[in-house]
Order: sequence, then structure tokens, then C-alpha cells
Amino acid sequence: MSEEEKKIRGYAGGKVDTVISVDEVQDESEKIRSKISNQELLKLSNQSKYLEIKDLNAGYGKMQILHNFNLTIDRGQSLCLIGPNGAGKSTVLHSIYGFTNIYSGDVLLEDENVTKLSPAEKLKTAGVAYILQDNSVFPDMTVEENLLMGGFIKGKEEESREAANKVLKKYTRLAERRNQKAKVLSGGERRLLEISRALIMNPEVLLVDEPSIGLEPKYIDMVFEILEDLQKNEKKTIILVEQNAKKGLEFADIGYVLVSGETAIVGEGDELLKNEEVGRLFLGG
Amino acid sequence: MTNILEVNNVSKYFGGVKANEDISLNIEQGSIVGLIGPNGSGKTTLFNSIVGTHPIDKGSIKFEGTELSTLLVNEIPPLGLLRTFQQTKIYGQMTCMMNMKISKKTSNNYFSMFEKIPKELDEEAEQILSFVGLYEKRHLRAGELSFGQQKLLELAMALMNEPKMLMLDEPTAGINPTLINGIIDRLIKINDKYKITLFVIEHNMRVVMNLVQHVYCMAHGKLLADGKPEEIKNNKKVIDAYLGAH
Repeated sequence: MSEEEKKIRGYAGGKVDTVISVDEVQDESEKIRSKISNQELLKLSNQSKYLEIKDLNAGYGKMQILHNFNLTIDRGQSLCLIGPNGAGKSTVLHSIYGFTNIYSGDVLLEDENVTKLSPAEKLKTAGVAYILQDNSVFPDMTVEENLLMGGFIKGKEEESREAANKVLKKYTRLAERRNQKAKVLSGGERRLLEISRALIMNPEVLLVDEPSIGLEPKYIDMVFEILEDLQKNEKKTIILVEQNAKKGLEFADIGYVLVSGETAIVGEGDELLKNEEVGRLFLGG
Repeated sequence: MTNILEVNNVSKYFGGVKANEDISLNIEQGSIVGLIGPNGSGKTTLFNSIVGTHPIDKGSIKFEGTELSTLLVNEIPPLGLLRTFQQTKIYGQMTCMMNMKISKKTSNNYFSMFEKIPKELDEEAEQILSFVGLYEKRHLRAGELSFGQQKLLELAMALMNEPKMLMLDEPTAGINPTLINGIIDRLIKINDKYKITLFVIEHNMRVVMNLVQHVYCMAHGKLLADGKPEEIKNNKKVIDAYLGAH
């Protein structure tokens, strides 16, 4: 089989014979769960702590979701969080960005403690951007206006305009529709606009929540190609959550499997893809 | 075999936008049929037209021989045709059991909402919940279930009304691959055990390939192709418009 054929396309194929309930997944992953040491995490991130989450306990209101969660990633790496619905994957992204209640633990970026920064400060001063899971374009604004909204927080329209032009130069698909309202864009183009809008602030770290949700197959490949370009050519650090776990793990350097708010398994993306237990419990067999 | 649903030359316009143009398709009784196509190609609009959410501009929609396009939206479910939505519609503060019981339509009378819920419904609700694998969670508030479990609850709620045909709008979107298998398994059993015809909108080709017997593909408001899953997967027009290069 050639390299090209082996690549996972769209939602990936495969059988559906492995029928396991959520509770069984939880029980069984309890069994294969190993005590994950910080050394192990550091090995995956090339011994770098460019971004680090330390012993994080976090949730929403009084409901705790994450229990002693740890994560490290090197600059320019990509990391994909997978796991059952309700495992706390999005909560990790929310905690980095500042959407959760953090009871204890820290988020460090280049050794600086950014745990207490608000989402606006994260975006403006820390260089962290968050791309929502839900549809978040402004439908009645044009493509260009949507991009400019990405720089709203700068307060300097000229700079935003410059950044928008740079983005439009790169993504000609959007440039062609520059003056059209965002509501006429296709699903894939909307996702592209959402990612581009996040680039206006020129962030170093991109948090991407389910890039492929609700997308038709051919746009899934497109979105991952865009993420790959941002990582490889612009050296962005990318942390993503993805239910399309095969595609997510194929893309990412590092994979973390979350179960009930704790990390059950870690490894290189490709290594997890080949892991039989991970396949059976989390990838649908 | 007889057709349970016959859609003939249906068009639906929103202002100048042709959301559905001259759509004709048949659903065989007892079958599982898929509907695929790019975002914005008119799949959900077609579902809405069939269940009477909005009037259609042209054409005819017949369910077991009864013309639906002249009926009101609340007159269609009693015929045995139900649908679910992309976003789950459950009552998060109520228990699963309560969600199940209020889903049962006893009569089409506005005062029926003030009636007491009959005791026999408990058993029926428990049976269906255990069928979808939510029996253990029946007394939990529905809002505490994971997203995937809420999708299963929604399916169970639809089953309370013993439909002849169910239309499902992206039943597996946003669900992890393992639970997707569970949902496919239940859908095949629903079709087999309760003899319910299924018509399913789905982007996930793994689901389409393993679940349905026949697929229709839409693009730009029109029907692009139809056939067996294997045929559709290799159809050049479908690959160009939807699946992307293989």
C-alpha cells in the first residue's frame, strides 16, 4: 500500500462490530490505566515545558471535572486529546484559556504562570487563541469583517487590517469571498474562517475544539491540512480535541486518552493509533 | 415491496434560494436508507418538508399513500412518522423516565397536557430504556447524561410513540467512535425488532457504509445520485461533490 493510500481520509472507514457501553469503556480503561509519570510526559514533549499544566483540579461551578491533570508540550508540537463524551477533553482547553473554575494547580507558558489570566488577557498578552467547537462566525458580517473582529481586542484597526490582508493572501478561498456575508459560506469555508480569525492576533498557541465536527468528509481533510500547515510552516503549537480520533491521532505528535477527568494513556499519535486496546475502547475497533 | 414514503418532484424555495429542487425519492417499507451531501445541500430542508415544518412550493409527499404536504405539522406524527434533530431536544432537569413518559402522545387534544400520566407507561418506558442501554440511568436527570447518552435517550423518546418510520438527523455527530458503534447496533435492532423504517442523514461514511441499504446523495438542492453504499462510495460525481479524492 502506498503512503498516500494509507492516509486516513474524512471520517475513516472500518467496521462497527465493537459494541461497548460507556460504563464498560470506563471499567476496562481503569484496568489498562497506568500510573503516568511526569518523565513520560516530558519524553513526549522533547523534555520541554513550553506549555505545562501542573496537578490541575478544575471544573465548572462546584462540579469538578479534571483531577490532578498534567500535560506538557514543546513549542511547535501538536497534541490531540481523545476519549469518551464527558471525559473532560474540552475542559482541558477551557482551563488553559480561562473558562473554568480552577480549584488548584497551575497553567504555565514559558515558565510564566498564566493560570489566573482572563481569556481576553490570554489572547492579547499570552498569545493563546481558542477556536470554538460550535459555529461561531458572525453570519451577517462579511468575511473581511469577521476577520477584523478577530483583532477587535487590539483596539488598533490598522494592525488588524494588515493581519487580515496577510491571512487573505494565504487563503485565496476566503479572499474570493472577502466581501460576501459569512452566512453564504459552506461548512468547510466557515471552519477556515474561524481558524483564520484566530490568526489575526498572531497567537503562538492554538486551542482547537473538534475541528471536524459536523463537516462533510472532503472538508475534514482540508481542515487538517490547514492545521498541519500552521504547525509545520508557522511553528504554531496546537492542542486539539477530536472525536474523529483516528484522524486526530494521525495528525498529532502526541496523544492523550482521557477517561473521567484523568489521563489513562499517553503516547505518540501514531503509536496510539496502532495500540489495540486504544483501538478497541476508543477508536471504534 | 411497497414504498412507505414517496417524495415526488418536491421543490422548496427560501426567497431566491432553491433549497430543494425537483426532488424525487422512494423509501421502501422496512428498509434503512441514508441521505448524504455537503453542508447546505438541502438535506435538513427535505426532512423539514417531509414532516411539515414548512409548506413546500411544488410536488407531493406521500406516507403510506396519505398526502402529507397538505397536513399541519402536528397531524403527521400520529400517522407514525417521527424525526429527531441534530441538536438533542431533551428536558435536562427532568429524569430520563419523566422525559420518556411526557413523550408519549395520548391524544391530539390541547388539554391532554394537563392529564395525569397513566401508570402503565412506567413499564413501557423502562423496557425501551433498557433496550437502548439506559435502564441503570433511568432516575438520573437527563442533563447529567453524556452527549452520546442523550442521543440514545432522544431515540428512546421517539420509540415511545411506536413510529412506523423514523427520520434521524445526524444521529452520530459529536459522538465518540465506540459509542457510535453502540448507536448503529441499536438502530439495526430497532429496524429489525420493531420493523421501523429508518431514513438517516449522516456525514460519517463509516456509519453509512455499515448501516444503510440504499443511499441518496444531494448537492446544491438537487439529487445527485442514489444507489447501494458501495456504488455511491465509488460514484465519481459523489466523490467530487462530497467525499473528496480517494
